[in-house]
Amino acid sequence: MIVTGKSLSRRTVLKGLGTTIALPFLDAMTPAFAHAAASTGPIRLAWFYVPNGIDMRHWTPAADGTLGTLPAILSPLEPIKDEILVLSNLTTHWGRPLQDGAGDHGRALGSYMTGAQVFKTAGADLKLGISADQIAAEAIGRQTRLPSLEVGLEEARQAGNCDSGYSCAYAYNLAWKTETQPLPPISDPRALFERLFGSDANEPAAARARRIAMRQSILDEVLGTTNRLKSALGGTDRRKLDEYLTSLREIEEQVDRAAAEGTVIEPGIDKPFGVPIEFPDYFRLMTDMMVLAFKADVTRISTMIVGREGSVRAYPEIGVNDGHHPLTHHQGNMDMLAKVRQINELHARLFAEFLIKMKNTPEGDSNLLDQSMIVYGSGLSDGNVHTHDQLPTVLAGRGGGFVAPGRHIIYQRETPVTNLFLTMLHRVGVRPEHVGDSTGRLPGISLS
Amino acid sequence: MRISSAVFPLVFSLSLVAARPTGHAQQPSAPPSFDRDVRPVLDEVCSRCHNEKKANAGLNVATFLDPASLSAKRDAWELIVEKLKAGEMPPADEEPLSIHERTALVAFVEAEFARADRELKPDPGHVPVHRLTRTEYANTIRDLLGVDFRASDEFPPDDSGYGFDNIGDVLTVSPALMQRYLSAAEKIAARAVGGAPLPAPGVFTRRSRVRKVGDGVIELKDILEYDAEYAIRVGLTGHRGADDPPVTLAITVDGEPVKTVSVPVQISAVNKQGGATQRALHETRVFLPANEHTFRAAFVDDETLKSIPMKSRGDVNVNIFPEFIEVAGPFKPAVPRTVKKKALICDPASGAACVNRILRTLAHRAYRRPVTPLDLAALHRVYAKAAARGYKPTESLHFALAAILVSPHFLFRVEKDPLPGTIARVSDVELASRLSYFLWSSMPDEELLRLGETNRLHVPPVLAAQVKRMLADPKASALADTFAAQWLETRSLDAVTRDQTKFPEWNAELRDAMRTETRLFFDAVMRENRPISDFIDGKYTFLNGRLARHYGIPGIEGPDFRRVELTTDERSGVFTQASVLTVSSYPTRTSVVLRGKYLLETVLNAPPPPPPGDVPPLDEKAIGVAVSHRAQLEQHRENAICASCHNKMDPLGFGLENYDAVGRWRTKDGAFDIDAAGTFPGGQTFSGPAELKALLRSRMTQFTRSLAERMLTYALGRGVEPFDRLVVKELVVKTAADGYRIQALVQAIVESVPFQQRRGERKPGLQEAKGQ
Amino acid sequence: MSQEPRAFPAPAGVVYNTTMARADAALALGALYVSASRREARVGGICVSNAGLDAAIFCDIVARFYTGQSRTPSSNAVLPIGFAAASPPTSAPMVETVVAKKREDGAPRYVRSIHRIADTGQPEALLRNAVTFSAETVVILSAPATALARSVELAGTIGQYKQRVKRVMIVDAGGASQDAAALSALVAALPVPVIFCGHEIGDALSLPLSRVENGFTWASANPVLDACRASGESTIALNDVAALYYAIHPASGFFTVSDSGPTRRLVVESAKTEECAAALVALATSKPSAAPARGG
Repeated sequence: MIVTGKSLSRRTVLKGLGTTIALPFLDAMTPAFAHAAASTGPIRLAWFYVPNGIDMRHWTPAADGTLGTLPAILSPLEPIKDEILVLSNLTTHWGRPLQDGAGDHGRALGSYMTGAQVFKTAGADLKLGISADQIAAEAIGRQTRLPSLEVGLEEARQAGNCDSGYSCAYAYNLAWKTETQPLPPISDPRALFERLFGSDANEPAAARARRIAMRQSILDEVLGTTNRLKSALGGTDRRKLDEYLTSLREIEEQVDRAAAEGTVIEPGIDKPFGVPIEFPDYFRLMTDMMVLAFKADVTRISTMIVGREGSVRAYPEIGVNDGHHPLTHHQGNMDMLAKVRQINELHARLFAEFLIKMKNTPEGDSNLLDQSMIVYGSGLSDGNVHTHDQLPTVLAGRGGGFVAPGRHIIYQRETPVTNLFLTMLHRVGVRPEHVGDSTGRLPGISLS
Repeated sequence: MRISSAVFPLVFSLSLVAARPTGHAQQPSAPPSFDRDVRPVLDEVCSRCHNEKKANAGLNVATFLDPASLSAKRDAWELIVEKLKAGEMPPADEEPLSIHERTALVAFVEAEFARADRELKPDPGHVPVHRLTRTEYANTIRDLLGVDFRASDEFPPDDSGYGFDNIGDVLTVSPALMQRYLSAAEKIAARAVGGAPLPAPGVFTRRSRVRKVGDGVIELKDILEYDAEYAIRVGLTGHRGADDPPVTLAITVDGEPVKTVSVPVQISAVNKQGGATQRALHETRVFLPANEHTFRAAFVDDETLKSIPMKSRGDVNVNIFPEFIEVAGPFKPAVPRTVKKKALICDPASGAACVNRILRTLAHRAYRRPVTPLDLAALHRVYAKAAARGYKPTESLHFALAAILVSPHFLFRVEKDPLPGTIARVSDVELASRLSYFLWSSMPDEELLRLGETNRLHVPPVLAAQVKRMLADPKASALADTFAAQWLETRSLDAVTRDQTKFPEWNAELRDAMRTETRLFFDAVMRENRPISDFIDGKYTFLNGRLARHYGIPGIEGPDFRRVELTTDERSGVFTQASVLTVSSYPTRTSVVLRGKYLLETVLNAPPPPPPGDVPPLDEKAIGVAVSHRAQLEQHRENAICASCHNKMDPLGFGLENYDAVGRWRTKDGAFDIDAAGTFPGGQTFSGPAELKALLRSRMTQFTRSLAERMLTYALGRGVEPFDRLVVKELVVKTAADGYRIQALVQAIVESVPFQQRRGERKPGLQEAKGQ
Repeated sequence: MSQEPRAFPAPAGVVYNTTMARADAALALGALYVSASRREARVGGICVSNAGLDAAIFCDIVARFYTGQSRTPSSNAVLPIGFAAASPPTSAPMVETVVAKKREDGAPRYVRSIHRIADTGQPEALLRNAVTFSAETVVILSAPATALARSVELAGTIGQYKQRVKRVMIVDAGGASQDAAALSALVAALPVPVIFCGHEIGDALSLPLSRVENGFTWASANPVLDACRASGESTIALNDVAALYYAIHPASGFFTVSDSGPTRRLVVESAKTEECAAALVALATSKPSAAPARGG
């Protein structure tokens, strides 16, 4: 069950989470595995990105090895600490200035999952790299209705420049399908619901089947038109049309799949409207839908931008009325540091709630968390001076028995955070030579 | 890209000192030269700090002693010249340059720049195919089909670049967006063609979706599926004291008031033993298009509320408040009010000829170009397939129209690329779209498209007349909605939060009012073709009761905005409008740094560099309590690291300190008197906002260049590049020549090479040097 | 908004991969920090390989000593010291002595920020990251080629070399050829000029320890001088220092590069040997310039 909020009138509650979901892996279909042994069921991969760094003095456990009492910011994860690994000293090298000047926030988020250089431009020739989740989605995403799911909790966009000559595309998008194509996160609850479950769930089956057939016809024609148009274009224009075409084909596949399956996933929740006013409710609403998506096997790969880099969100719910980003430039001011810590703790608390929901969602003999590998981290450690190494990183879940959690591992510095991502991809059978700047798989995640 | 100019006002008042007795600049008869005017200054003065061993700011002038460096290191040289002109270098504690030395150096270098620029080949640049932004999509749907579609509720926000969200390079199509396009196309098509009967009315929305957004303010968001009449019902509960005055309940839909009623505050006969509380119901009927809507019930001007303690405001024995909103419907409109089906120019049931006519017309307008047989054949195939599946003619038309709306020809603005590297004029048809998406954020209308298709649009008088006509059209308010909201950053108001304990008056009503004021103001400047100096100090604005009270201007009541002539120096122009003052503040207080930066960027075209990471602390908590904001910052600026930039930003920001973080006029900050005096970059001083504005006005060239670069970026959908230097210069000259009137700037942009021409994309690889 | 104000270009960087087992290496490290303080060079990255942790600690001590910073500066500006342990572990009296030196109160003589392996940088990642700074770089390999060869194998590194690395200098004296397979793979993969610095360089530029000691009059205790003394070398062959000098001042006139055959070799101008040695030792024993003030 989910944790309910203070007042019904102030938040949209997801009712009866999981009660009417069509289970992808009915117990009868699940081979009997030895308890807690490595399973072959699907593994979910997820990434939670928190912005503006973390007050590392209250994050890093004192010693390596088995996790003892967790420091303040991680303390909300105490009830579930046997399910997490704390990984210290990982680096996002391409977040660093390297003489590209200011713009650490723009680079921090952009380079985090791509391990690639963020080409400094406010617009022309946008260029980054393919993010870890999209490498996985490209390889195994077709096994589910949605290859991947991008979620974010930053509804309003700010006007003006995002960060010192970097296009906003870098600061707002974690997932990059190609070097030039970001996948914007869905931040509207209704849009997320409709992405997961369609906007036409209540239609009679016959009418729906007929309409899906028409969708196929429409998409056929549009594909033909686009191919003709593309052949008349060159360079960048062709690339833009390719992005469109790829997206079109993906939608076509989904429509074909829907036509073939002929069934609708019953979400079991009401369609939400509007963004909850209080941030914790917003976080819960969106992550509840992520849990649903994983449970119903709509997708196995997801990213979540808890806040875009440079986020100026205030958190009046916990008494923080100043914007997050200005607060992280605390210059040692104790009051500001205390508020930053409060925000860091709030994010960790909400993440812990999500993990507990995952753990409480059974799947076969196991549960969703056991079947997942979930990264929680940031591309900045010290937000005050913008450091891109010794990053805060947690890996939650057991990856189907692959991960040996409950420990703190300290790596040699400069170890790319993409080494972790590469390790995760290997676990799900995706074996790229590298993820951006990775130098190899990360040792010590598994005990074997 | 910022372009420094040779027409910079030469204000060197900081350097009113005697010439150094060096004598090297003493032969006025000799022609200006690098050896005479530049090298000695670099070598003898600058090199003291900017040398190989002590390269302050990373500059070693040894590599700038060669005239060839003027072109080889143009960017760095521009920076040097800027620092000299602004009087920032040499720093105050170093031996100054004489006016003569400084002027001679700057004049020589700028003359060299100008000479180099004259040899620049005109280059219109390359703009890739341009996906419609969600604003453009919504406007185009409106103009194409007469359907009111809220793209901002349906599509994810567009990423921006160069400060605008219509940059072709940045606009992409993700699978998630494609899915939204497909489902939007189906819904829009159904609404555009219509025909489905209304179902039986019912109460559609659940009370549990209602949320409280403030004291006495509740909100409901929901989707209505039909263009029809709906009943909006608001329930009030609780009561106040017997003598308390009535309160005004305003019911709004999407920010527009639909009912305002005065309600008594003693409605409940409260049974203190826990019996049911009575409720008052207020209902109104309105016609609403199918869309997502925001319904709001709010008590406005509720003075009594202030006397009710925060913790008792939810107590029905003490307070009255809106409790729920319900929407019921759909009802057949009392007055027949069908949405005009723009698409249905004939009855599709009448046969193939009509269907063909409808499809041809729709495709022509939706693709914004002549229709080809291939276009039509594809649409007919979709229609035929639908008909074969048993759909009625109107329904079959839905699908063909949906196919149009997801076609790349609709979703993208595609232009034919000239051969790689060559330059060509865009076709008149393409020009029509460039023009309409610039001025209307929408598709060309019939007249524009016809002029394009008959190749007459590019003819200068025709084009100028069209610009004039388009700016007079109501659709031109798109410039205020999209261009101005991003240029002035008032779009950020959506994301603004304010500390409710410090600014209890901050709420959505006030936010909307602020936004509307600036939008109407910009719109007025544009429509009345006012000089752009009005943005700095135009003595009029647009207010409703809420905002007038916020400003302390008496005699304006009610929710409607009206033009107000301003008589005092407290307010004039956009920079003392609450919207701008709010977006340039923090949630808890003002920021002279943010406001100074805002003015430097927006008016003076001179953005300061970003701060270094290791800046000493500014004790925010103490501001207004232990020490004034100004004293804090002055302390901060004693640090040499901070001073180099803050000396530029902070004084400008101080000029606006008479306005608090929600733009209210004030004379005290906490316990301290406001001192709004400051010094302009270059040395002139001002004593408050009025004098600050007078000084900003004296920098019209800079301001015009700034606005010209921003508007050119928006018009082209690409960043302003170094090769646009001459174009921008020309825009400034043409605007100035017409008394700085804003339409002169618009006309000049439309006449410019980059707006009318296009360069074929260079082969990949040739652009690599760009990143350097 | 408009483009941010531009920055002025940085000087060329030096990436130094060393075993830090000889006095020459300690001097080269000192020379690099002196050059950096004069803005003639930039410390691109330091990587210790085939050595014990004390060698990395020593490099950190020198960095702290020459830059006057007791703590590691932001890793955005300066990368940590890379470290690849020797296997089997080796003993290096030179660095061990300096690292173990104590003050009278029992505290370490020299401040350091490396205490355990986790404080050092992963060698391949560091060596790759060190050549990504958008300015020219020279890589000096004076250690077995294992770690550098691996870094060059990483995806994207060759591209970075093509864009930014001016040349790679390989110093025999550091044991570059000990891992012959790695060395030949490295040389085959490198897309930029490779210059070999053979033992003949050090032979020509050898100095008695006393000449080095004479240069260090500006500080009562100096880790580089301590290392030279602890190395037990009475004559110091300046191999690494020469490579470093050429990397920073290719036009000094002290050196030429033979481009006969497939391998280029660094050659000391025979007529200028004495002058060259003097310049090298002067640089390696100089006092660093005060750090320039920011701003301006």
